[in-house]
Amino acid sequence: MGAYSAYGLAVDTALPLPGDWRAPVRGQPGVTVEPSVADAISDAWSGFAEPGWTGWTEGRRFTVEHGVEGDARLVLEAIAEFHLSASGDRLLAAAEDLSRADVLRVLLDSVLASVSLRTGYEAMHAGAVDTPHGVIAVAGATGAGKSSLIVALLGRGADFFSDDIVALRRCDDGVLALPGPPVMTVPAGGDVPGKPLADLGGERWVAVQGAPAPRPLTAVILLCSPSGGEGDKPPSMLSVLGHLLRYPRTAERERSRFELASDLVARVPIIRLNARSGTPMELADQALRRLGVWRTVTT
Amino acid sequence: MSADSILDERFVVPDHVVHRSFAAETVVLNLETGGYHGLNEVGGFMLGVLAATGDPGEVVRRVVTEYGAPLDRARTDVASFCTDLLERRLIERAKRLPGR
Repeated sequence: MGAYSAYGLAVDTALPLPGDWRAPVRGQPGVTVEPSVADAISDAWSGFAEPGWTGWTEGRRFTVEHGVEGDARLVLEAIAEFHLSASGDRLLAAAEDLSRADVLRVLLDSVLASVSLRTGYEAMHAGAVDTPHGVIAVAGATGAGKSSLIVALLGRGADFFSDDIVALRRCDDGVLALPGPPVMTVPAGGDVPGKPLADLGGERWVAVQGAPAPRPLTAVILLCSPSGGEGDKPPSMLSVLGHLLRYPRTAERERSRFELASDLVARVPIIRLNARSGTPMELADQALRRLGVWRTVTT
Repeated sequence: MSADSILDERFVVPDHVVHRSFAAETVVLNLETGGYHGLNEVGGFMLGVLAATGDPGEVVRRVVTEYGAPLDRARTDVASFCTDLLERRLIERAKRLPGR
């Protein structure tokens, strides 16, 4: 079995996962990912109780449902199905071909992130890089250019930390970010970091070197469109809350999310960048200067 | 409901409402609905006084003192503010103790 760390989880699995993984972090809650078949998932599923969340990934509907006994079923329409035990430590995975790039990508992104959220972590819809000062998250609407900015920040000497989703938890000193899987989805064409794995939906999925350990979140970049209506207003707590993943939607977790966002706004510098105000590299330079980490990252 | 009547009532911020104030905004979360609400600086100030005292009349007095607002304008604004919070279930009428 391979041992991995992603989104604050210790992941054990016989599935070969792409990317340059670091040694798993000790003391994290564990989940075992077991290759399985659809019939076994049907047998394990306790029956529909309520919807979890629904989104689109890999050009298909992705659905999370909660079972009557506290388990969860996660389905990538017509492609793959997963079942998470009520205890949250066993994930069955079924697909015609579990080694397919789109199946592995949904496992490493939406599925494990959902498991992490159910375990109790919070998460931001953002990519992130690591610097000597800590982690910089880049949040923005789909298509705003998060991936291009992350690639530019890597080009300026930052290290990869997470792609698309950053798991977070509160700590005494602020907010701790937890590394994501060592894979990235980047715009196809041009120079890309890492080793290409597959071209999916006009994008390139690449393997990169993973981050070794949780790190303090020290800045958030909100990538905005000029027509977004935010103007030159300073970033607000509401704008940060808009990028936190609201799952599960229990009152207890809503409160926890609110408290994390409060800590984040109170303690972490947040800057707004106009996504159209320059090339990705110019935006990266602008962000590093405004955050005061320019020299440390680029020299 | 007239402005005068709501200003004579007493209110509490229920347990299902959490709020946090920053320099330029106050954000309120209704845990029952999952809805977030943003208040500007004056709104945040009014909610803070209301949460601490439960007394809209005290909110009026503090708004007049802190912001130099005319009394009539402050009464209208605070009454409207309380009505809005009530409709969104961000405050509740305080239960009166028996015999009072």
